[in-house]
Amino acid sequence: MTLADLDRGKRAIVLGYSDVVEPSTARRLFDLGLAPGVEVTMIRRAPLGDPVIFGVGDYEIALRGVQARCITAKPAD
Amino acid sequence: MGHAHHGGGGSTTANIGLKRFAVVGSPNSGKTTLFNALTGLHAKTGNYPGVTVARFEGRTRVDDRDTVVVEDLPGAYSLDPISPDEQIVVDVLDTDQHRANHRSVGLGVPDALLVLLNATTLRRSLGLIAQVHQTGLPICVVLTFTDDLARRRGRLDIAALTRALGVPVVPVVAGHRDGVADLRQVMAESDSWSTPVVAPPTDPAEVTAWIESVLASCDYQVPEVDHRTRRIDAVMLHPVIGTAIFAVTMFLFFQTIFTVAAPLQGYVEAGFGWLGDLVAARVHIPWLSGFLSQAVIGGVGSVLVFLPQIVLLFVLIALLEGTGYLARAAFLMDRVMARAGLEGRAFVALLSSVACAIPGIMATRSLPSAKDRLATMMGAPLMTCSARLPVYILLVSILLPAGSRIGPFSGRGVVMFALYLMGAVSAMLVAAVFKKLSSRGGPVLPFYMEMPPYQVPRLKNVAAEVWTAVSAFLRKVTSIIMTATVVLWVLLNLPLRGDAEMTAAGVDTGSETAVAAYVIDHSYAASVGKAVEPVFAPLGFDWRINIGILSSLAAREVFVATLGQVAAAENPEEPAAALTEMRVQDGPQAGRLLFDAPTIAALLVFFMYALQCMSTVGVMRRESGSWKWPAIAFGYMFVLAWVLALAARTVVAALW
Amino acid sequence: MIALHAERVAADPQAVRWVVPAGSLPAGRIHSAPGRLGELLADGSLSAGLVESTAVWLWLRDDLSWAAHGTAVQAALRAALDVPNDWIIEPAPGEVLARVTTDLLDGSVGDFIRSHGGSVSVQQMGPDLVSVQLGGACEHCPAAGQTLRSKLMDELRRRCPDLTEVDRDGTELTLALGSGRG
Repeated sequence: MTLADLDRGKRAIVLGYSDVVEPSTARRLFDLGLAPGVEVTMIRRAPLGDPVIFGVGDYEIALRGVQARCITAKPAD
Repeated sequence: MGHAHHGGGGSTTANIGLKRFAVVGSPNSGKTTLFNALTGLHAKTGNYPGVTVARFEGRTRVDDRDTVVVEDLPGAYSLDPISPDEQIVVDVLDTDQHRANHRSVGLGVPDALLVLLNATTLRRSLGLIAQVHQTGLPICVVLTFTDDLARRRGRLDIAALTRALGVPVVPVVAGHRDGVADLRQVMAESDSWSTPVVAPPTDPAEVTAWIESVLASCDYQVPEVDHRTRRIDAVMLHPVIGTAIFAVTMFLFFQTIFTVAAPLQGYVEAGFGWLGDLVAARVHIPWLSGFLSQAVIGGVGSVLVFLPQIVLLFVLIALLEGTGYLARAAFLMDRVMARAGLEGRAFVALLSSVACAIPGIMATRSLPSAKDRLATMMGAPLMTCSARLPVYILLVSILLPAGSRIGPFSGRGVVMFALYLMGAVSAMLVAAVFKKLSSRGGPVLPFYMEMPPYQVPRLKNVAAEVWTAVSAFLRKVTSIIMTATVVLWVLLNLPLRGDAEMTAAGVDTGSETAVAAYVIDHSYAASVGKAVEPVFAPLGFDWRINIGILSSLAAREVFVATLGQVAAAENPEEPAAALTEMRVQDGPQAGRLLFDAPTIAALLVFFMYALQCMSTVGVMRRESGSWKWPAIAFGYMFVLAWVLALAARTVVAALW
Repeated sequence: MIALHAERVAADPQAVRWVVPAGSLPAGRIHSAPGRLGELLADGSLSAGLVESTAVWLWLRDDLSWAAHGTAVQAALRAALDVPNDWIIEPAPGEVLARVTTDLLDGSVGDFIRSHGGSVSVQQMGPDLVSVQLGGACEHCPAAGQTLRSKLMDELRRRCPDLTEVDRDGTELTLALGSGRG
């Protein structure tokens, strides 16, 4: 599953990035803290559906569906 | 948006010989606040050579004797660059490159680094330290947001962090002077900064383990979720309530343009009126009186009338940004902007352009993608800025009488709203087109946006931002507009005509009005205006309007001053009436009202699209790093203005 | 991957305190270690090694520098920590305690004591015991002595959970790890 599949309030652990991701995108996601092993919470979605705010550790990041779909994850519980 | 620095040159020749510190950190680490605190408002802005990346450099005293140079490098998440901004950071820090090839002329080699780490995002930020160590430059860590960490029940042993990192660590809380004073003392001793005994690893897997070890040894307690921000966001970003609040905020924002500022404008107007009367009463030398009242008071005064409104807009924008709300606005608008190939932060830049394109263009710095920055820059001047207002108001008041109504709404109000709307839509379309054109080839930068916590805006930052924008505007007024109006006044009143010549032409030399009208009709300005008639004739403009347009290329407001001078020559008592009654003098359309509906429509549309602002050209050049982009902007906007003005004229002529 | 990082030792440039997860190894003097680390110890590049509960101390031979060899030692240490059972560590509670105490006193705790006008010295007494002598302000003010002593004990206990106070005689403390004997 990917981060794009998370429902509101649910948590997931990042596993990695999908194969189609550009190296620069993967690097940026890693630098932002969305690294393998990190727990992520889906906080809220924008009124028009995109982007989505994720809670990563101590801060919040907004990502579009296109990016969220690149991050593979497994449910946290 | 967010960099509150004076505009100015980017030269560093004055700084040779002084010690250089470079400030490194990720975008949300509090760099701007720290840089401002260190350098005050005395920073110089410029450009890094050849790229669309702004450069900030300033000075500060470290102990009571030494001055050092502080350069605020672009925000970077890591030294593995994926954007031009990060490439600049890599280039500046690349000490081997500096020694090896002298490519770095124009890039100052730093002597020491201040690395900013946000205490609330330490796990993510520490990776940057490991990379920065590779440069071999002396490092001091500046720890920011320690107050936020405490407020959110996080914990960090700073002494332990100092031991674990092996470098000096100085906590700095925005708004508190002690931290900055401590930092200055530490900077004075940069030659003796400790270094880690073993360099931290940079391999991604190893560095994660290193970070865990460091954090464990500091008793790092991750701060709790920022409940205050969560709760506020639950409302502000609620699908229904949040959107409604956003709509209301935007509505109020635009309302200030007209309603709130109006009484203040009245005072300024009255002030200038009094000044004008004073001149008329006291100054008895006719040409001096004319010069002062028309060129100076008329020209500059008509612009300064809008100062209260501009200041108010800047204050609103700065406040909204200081609280963190603009990030929410960007979040809400991202989907809409994405349709144009842009992103939410571009909306903020365009919104700022409603006050004035200059801070709007500077606000594009917040966009991580250089292509987005350029595309937004190309579209920003089309937003209806405050300089267009005097022109619109003048023309609309000629077009429609005061009480006219369209349905339940005031006629003038509807037209103004339509003008604003068209400006906004055009800006978006143009930005979309430029983005599309530039997007061919090359990797697309992924979209991400950090949502900063809500804060009470720091007044010092708000004041600094407002001052930057206002001072840019005042500089425009005093240098460009003043010069243009004076030059115009000269061109309109020269060459002087002798009595004999005028009598021969059938002018009653006893009548001041007739003399003035003759002088203007045969002035240098008139020659120029008539010379360009072929260009503007299809739009229905005559030489008087042409002079107005040419002069307004410097700044739009000059158009009003120019027409005012021309009209005052014909009817000194009631220049406004003179405008409404002006008729085309010769040619196939002789005798028709000059300012008839089709011509006014053409003029309005022309002003909507043409780039008539030297200040904007200057800022574009500075932000994009070359003359190419402002030239392209000027060119495409002129063509667009001409074509659409013709279309407007045709449509209105058919329907009116 | 094992979480570890290197810290400078205040008074000793040839020593590095490698902070590792607590309980990775038993405390004591390092006799031998597996892999490359063992080789470095055997050939004398690393002249000594000591384990406290949360860190491994390593000393480089005098003519070598950590700047040049740090990364290699780190890799060797990391590999060796993967096989904790292959280490041979001789219990040396007195030496470990003395080393930790000295480290604390060279650092913030010592600064704290000295800033209040106190002085402190450490001596290893026999294989198991360490004597800590407080002086200066601590001698004459019982309250100050009490505060400074408890601060020192708190910090020590964080690093050595099984710290025991064997004896207290005025301003002299006798400390040991574990039960104190053998």
